[in-house]
Amino acid sequence: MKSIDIVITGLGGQGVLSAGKVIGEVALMAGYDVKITAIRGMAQRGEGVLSQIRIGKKIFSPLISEGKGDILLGFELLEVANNEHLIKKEGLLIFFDRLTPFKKTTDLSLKIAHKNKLEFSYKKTLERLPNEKNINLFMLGVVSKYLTFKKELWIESIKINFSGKKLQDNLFTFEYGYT
Amino acid sequence: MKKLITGNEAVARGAYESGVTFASGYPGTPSTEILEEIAKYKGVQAEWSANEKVALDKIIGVSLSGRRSMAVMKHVGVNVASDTLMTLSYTGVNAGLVLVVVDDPGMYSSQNEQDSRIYAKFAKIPLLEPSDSQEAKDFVLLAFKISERYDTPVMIRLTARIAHTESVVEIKDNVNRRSYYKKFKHDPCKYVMVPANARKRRIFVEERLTKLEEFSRHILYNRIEWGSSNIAFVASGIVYQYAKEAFPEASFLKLGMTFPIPVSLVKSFTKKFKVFYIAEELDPFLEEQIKSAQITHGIGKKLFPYTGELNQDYISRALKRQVKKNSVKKYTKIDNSRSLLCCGCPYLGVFYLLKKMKIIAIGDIGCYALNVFSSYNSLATCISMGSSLGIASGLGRFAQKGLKRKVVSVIGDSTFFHSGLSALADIVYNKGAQKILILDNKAAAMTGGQGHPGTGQRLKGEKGRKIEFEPLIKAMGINRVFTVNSYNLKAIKEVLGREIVNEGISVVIIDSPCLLVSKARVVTKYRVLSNFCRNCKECLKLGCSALLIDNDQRVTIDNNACTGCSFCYQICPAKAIRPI
Repeated sequence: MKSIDIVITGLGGQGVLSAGKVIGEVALMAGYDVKITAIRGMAQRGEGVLSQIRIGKKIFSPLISEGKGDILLGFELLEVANNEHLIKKEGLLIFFDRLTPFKKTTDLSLKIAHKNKLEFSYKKTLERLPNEKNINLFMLGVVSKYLTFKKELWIESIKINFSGKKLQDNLFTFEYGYT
Repeated sequence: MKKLITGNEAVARGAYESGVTFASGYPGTPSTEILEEIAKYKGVQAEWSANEKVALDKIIGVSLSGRRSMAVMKHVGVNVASDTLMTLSYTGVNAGLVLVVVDDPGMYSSQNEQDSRIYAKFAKIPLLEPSDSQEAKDFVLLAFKISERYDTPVMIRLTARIAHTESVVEIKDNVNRRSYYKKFKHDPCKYVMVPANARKRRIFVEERLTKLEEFSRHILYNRIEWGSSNIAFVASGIVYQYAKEAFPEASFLKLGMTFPIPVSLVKSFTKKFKVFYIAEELDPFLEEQIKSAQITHGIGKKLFPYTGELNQDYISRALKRQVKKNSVKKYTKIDNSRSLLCCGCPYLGVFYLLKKMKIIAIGDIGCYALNVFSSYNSLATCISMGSSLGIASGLGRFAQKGLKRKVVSVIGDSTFFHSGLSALADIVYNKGAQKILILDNKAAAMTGGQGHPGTGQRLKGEKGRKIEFEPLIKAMGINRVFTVNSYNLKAIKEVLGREIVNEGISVVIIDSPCLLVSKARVVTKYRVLSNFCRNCKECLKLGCSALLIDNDQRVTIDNNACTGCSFCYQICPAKAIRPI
């Protein structure tokens, strides 16, 4: 793998930042240079959060160039629509069909332009998970199959980033996304 | 061991490794995490100060005592601390003293976009600008050396992008914290800045600057990277990374120390090129220094904007002359539809009433400024910390004649202790007749719920002493002080209606903790009974995002988001909103 640019997008509280951190640690353990950037401002109020992860031999800018990103992971539809311009034409979008109720008040017809996409039902996925807070780990399980890192590194990274009951739930959820 | 950490975490690590014994500051995005991270290290004292000036004053004292110290603040915080900073430059330090400032190009969470680097030039003190987390850590260690060697405060300036980007840092598990101790010396000629002494130190400052310029030529962090193309950049901080990404083949003069710049190094680098580019965000800080050294073939603000955050795409287009020759870059449009006060925020009710009663609300810095995004907004101003009292004092005294509307100051609890107190003293002294609402949500909520003198919660978790608002304000000679619960609209309305026509000063404390901080459990949720609802949409004026409009244009309550605050229940004219 030469280099890979990943966008993670969702709302505050959905685990966008920690998902980015897990991927970053995996890449670091695999011997790559990594930069992760996310402006943290009003995220705790449920605003949109955008995390950009750049992995390669040597990374300078932490920002992904317009239309050069490889993969987008989306936790909320509007945020996916807002940020898909970062991803290249043939790039992959993995996202949930969830649209926050508040957004329904705005008149907006959502069109995801990318052809290469993997859409999951938020509701159905949630039924199989121990906790809504783990939803980000499901996403990581899914995307791990599209990246070349060894599974052990993912497990190791999750162990670094979480502990206790949360760790157990997260490992379970990752496994579910992986299979 | 290699670790992935943010610029803010790296500064904290650097402070720890440098042997900092005391650090202080005032919370403010994007700088807040630095002090919170420092506080996690054992052996370092760290505490929030009432404001940035107090923080800087305290670390001067620590430096005098012979121990290394650090102050941390966001860009606008330096404005508050600048009075101290300008003369601290004259006195110099005993043990090393470092000021860390985080700017916010793009204004992701700030009221202005000032380029704080200018403070370093203004105060004539050295300035370091890291370009990633590794440098953020290393520059702290360097800053303390410079501080002690040249008898000067040192400023480190990050931008939000550096502060909130994780990059790889080499961290040793067992680090020998450098211990530095220099005995306190009674030296009034150096520290008592009366004119006779200040004149002597004023000359010292200029001599120090000459020595610092010489020093900046020789440090590794000001380095030339020769490339294979004929494109050349002088750059610092995050912009170096953007330019390197856009033009990896170009030659770079990468500056880590950006004030004073190493003039002879710039000369020897740039004379190799017919033209070179000075890439920087915000003000032409490097450009002005370079041009005033008679190096004139550099292109800076002719191509790069004064406004906003840069990126590699913009730099690339600029060099290909694909951008309009315009010094203003448009900001990325930020969707504000979610920038509302939280569902059930204790402030929703009081702002609704202020609008209803046609009262002009002079606002301040804090969460409550988000009221401006509500369609039923009652805020008229928001300028700087503590300003609401002074502005309302000016506006209020003429409001009766021209405006025919009443004016109130609206200030948060932490902001009040930051810089509202002295303004209140002014109003009492000048026989003002002001109405002041203190929105007391028991935290500096906007930045994540930090403690302050009104909460008694200290940074490292230890209990401090709590200052009660009522006795404090009464002691200042104000008799009309009332505390009402934020969620009791009837009581707030009654007090407001009564006090707004009162002749003298009134202070009303709107009292209830921030829900993000208290994490209060929801007892009762509410719903709309559609057969009672007249669809008047009065409830939407609260600006609560748990209230939604469904496909039939009727109001419903999002059960997941509802916090049971009961504001909508209290104001519904049709009594259609009921507990579940």
